[in-house]
Amino acid sequence: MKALPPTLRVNKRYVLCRIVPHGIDADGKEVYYAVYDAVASLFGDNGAAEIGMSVVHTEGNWAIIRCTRGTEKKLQAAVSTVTAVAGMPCAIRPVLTSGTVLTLKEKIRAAESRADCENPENTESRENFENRGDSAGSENGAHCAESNLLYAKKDIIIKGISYRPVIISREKIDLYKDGIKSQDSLYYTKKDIEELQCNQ
Amino acid sequence: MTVSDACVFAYPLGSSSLRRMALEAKYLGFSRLVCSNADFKAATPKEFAGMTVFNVYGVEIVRGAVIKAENFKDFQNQVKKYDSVPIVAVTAGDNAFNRSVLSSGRVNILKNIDSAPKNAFDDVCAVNALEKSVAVDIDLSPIVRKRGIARQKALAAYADILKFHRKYGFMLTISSGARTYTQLRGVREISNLCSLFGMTDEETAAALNSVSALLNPQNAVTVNPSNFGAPSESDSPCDESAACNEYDGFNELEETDESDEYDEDIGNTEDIS
Repeated sequence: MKALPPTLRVNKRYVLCRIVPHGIDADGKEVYYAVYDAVASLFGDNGAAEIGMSVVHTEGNWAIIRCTRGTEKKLQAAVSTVTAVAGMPCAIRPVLTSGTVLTLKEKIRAAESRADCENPENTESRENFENRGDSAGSENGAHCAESNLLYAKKDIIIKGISYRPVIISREKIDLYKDGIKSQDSLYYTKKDIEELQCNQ
Repeated sequence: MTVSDACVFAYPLGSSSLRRMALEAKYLGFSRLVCSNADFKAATPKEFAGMTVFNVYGVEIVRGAVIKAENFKDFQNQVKKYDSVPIVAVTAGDNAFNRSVLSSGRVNILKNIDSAPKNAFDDVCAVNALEKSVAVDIDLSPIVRKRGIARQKALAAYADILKFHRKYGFMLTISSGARTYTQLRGVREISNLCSLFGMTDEETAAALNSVSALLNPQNAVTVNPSNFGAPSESDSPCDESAACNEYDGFNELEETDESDEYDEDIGNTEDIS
């Protein structure tokens, strides 16, 4: 079909979304399937066609989703109902809406640089997390995670189960238990870990 | 305005500690969380042990409790344990149970109305909820986590509750029912989700703020009928004269101040001479 002239084209809006928890570097295709499933489930096929969503860019924990102008709120409501991406339990949080992708990409850069300034270890930690995901349970990943956590020299034991700590930001620390069938994780803060270690 | 999430479950019921929940809630725009863990002591950080209301990272944490009772007698037995808990919620049951619970005045929130039978909440319940200042909770977890007919039922139930709310004016609360910080939803997300069943932004804002009203209820003004209308001794007719005396006293005080200044000036001149 011949492309419409610019004046007849439908206007689009771009929604910047953040994927939580940290470390889920989801592929664009996986994010698309998750969001499309949510949109179709909530608004039906007709609503999904009206919204016309597509994932245009993913970068780390960020995703930019396109929709028809005027349906941003519907898309944001649907995005809020996403509970898993590629089988990994997570949430997608709409952050900002814009008319251009470039603005949102600048926002991503600004947010990333701010996070790195707050915690210089953050970048390293994120890379370590990626390594850990590739070789789950390997000695290399465990070593890197431990080197980031200066005051926790070994795995943290809670109720007899050993968890590997990974620093996410200045305050946030995630604890991961690698299993064969499932990966259990706990979300703590620095103060919680200090309290735990004092008790142990 | 204090934006509150009316029900969250922290570790050990969930997978996020209370501090982490508070940290995320602050990022999402909340200023209060109601933690409804059955074992609140286990969820509380040690520095706040024994407290029912405390502040973590600028977010107020309020102790809550959820009662799930089979009948009203069971409810009465259970509610005795939670006398010191600021926010007590009860899971909705059939119509008779809901009427009894709402008229008892011992609960703050009626929860899980979406999973109650079809005619569980009627106009009598609405009037009771208004009179006893009981809020009806809108739990977002069925909308977020359920799919298909279960979610449709929840949306229909919330739309019905909203109609009653608009007619009778009882309070609504909004809760995420989060067990981990990823299940918390931001204020704008909540507004979008609530718009699915027809709630306006103003109504959402009021519902997010209603936990404050539950914590600080506005009691009706009571008048002692024995001496109602009789003038008391303190209300003497010499109020005006007393006011005049006070005014005179004020003038005298000013005069004395001026005289003091005058004396000081004289003293200074003496020193110079």
